[in-house]
Amino acid sequence: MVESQPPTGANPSLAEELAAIPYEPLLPVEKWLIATSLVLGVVLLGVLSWVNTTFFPIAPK
Amino acid sequence: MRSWFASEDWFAVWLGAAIVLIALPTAAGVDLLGWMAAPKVWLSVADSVRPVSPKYSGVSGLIGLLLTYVLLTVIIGICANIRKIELKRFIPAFSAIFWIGNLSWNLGHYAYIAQTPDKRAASGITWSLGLTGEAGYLIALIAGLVVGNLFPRFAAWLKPAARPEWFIKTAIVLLGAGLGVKAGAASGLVTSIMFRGLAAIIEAYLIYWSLVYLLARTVFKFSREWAAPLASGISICGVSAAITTGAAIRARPVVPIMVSSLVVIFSVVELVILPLAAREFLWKEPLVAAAWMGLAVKTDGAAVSSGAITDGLIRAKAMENGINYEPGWMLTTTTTVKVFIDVFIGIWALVLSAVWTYGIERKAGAKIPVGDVLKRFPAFVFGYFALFLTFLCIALARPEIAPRLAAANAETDPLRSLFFAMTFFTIGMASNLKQLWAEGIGRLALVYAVSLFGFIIWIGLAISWLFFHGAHPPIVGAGG
Repeated sequence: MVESQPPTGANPSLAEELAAIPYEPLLPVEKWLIATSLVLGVVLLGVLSWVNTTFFPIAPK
Repeated sequence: MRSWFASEDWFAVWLGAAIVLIALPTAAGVDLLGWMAAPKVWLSVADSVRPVSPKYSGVSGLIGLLLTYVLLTVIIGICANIRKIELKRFIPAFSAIFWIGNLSWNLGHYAYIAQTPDKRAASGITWSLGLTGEAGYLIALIAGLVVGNLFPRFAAWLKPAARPEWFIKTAIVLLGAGLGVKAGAASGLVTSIMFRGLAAIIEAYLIYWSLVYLLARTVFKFSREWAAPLASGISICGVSAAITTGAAIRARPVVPIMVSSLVVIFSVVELVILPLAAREFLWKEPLVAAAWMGLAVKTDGAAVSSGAITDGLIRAKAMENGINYEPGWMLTTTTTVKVFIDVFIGIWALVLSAVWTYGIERKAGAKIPVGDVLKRFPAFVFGYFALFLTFLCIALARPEIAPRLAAANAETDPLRSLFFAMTFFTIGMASNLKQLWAEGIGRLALVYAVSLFGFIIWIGLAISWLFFHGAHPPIVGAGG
């Protein structure tokens, strides 16, 4: 990704920034995003694993 | 659009392509880069560098080194000038980084550090650490940490040229050409690595991201503005992911910047620990180890660099056991995984921005910031794949010239290694360890540490194992 320098230097307002974080309950759309991502990950794990062994077998050493 | 083409990513492409073009005539018998200095395992300093091509054996190592410095400074200086970087400050700083990187790289080749067990007798020594020349990268990293944390004024003077992302992306573009040549000779293995790499990152990203986001939101009570860049930054892609996600959900700039600072520090820790762990526990599964580096170590620079160290360490360990793996395959695997991650973060950022725009913020008339996300697309990936496909097509169309292409490409190796060494040094320099003691950092550091050591490196290892176990690099001298 486009990036130039890893940002450096401590920001003096870090503690205030973190202390000021408001409480935000988890919205249904966030729960949906998390669940979909996890379920898709697990399902694809099986599918890609099958494709992997079926179509891209490892040649013997 | 014009500024996009003038980005650091595109200049990595121009720089890498220029180096490959200069090396290419070697394939036609016109050796333009053979004088370039390449480090050798040494006991006497006078033997530490030699020209990369035997055709230039009459040129002394020191002259080769000076010419290498001049060539690289001129090419990179032209790029810096076009990018409107102040040359008066850039060139001296770059020169210092070049020589420190080079010195570290050469020190790593000292026989007692680098020599592998099978060659100790030939070197006239009875013991060595057997770390291979890749130990030079660790020396560069340590040098960078020392400079960045103990000599802040010197570090500030070096800063105009301290560009680890530019260096590593140039090295990745160079790797693209090398992979193309390799693919011509071992297309089955390369196709396998490519597919497995793609599959592994899709898996890792979907699982990592959601778990870190859930942890940050529910256990550590971060707001959405903090949790999303944290999840992207911690889960895979580091600095670039945190920044791209920040843009995608329109977080304030302070958020990805703070997350990124932490990412850099943790990536240094991973860079030191994980390759050593891989050497001890995964040397029988070299490509699992390589993919693991790509999935676990954050930031392009640290991840690809960890692949380079892993390549050296595992080959040395395998040699102790009588197996001589062809060099570069582990590095290639880590790089492939990392390049796919960089592509995937763009896709994921678009998904997040759609969820934020239409599901969370629901502002009337709001649009997905497609332009912001596209602007951050990793352009160096184009360079990597363009060189890969070009060299692959040539190698497949004209197999008889493939060995000469490989020889031409090998002449870019010393520069690629130098870019690695400079990446390690400048990553170390950018790692401000004092920041770990900054007030308030604890909560951020804790979510990072819990995620990283609690599940990311283990899930990454499991996914790497699932997709890469049983795959091995070609063995040198095994008759193809």
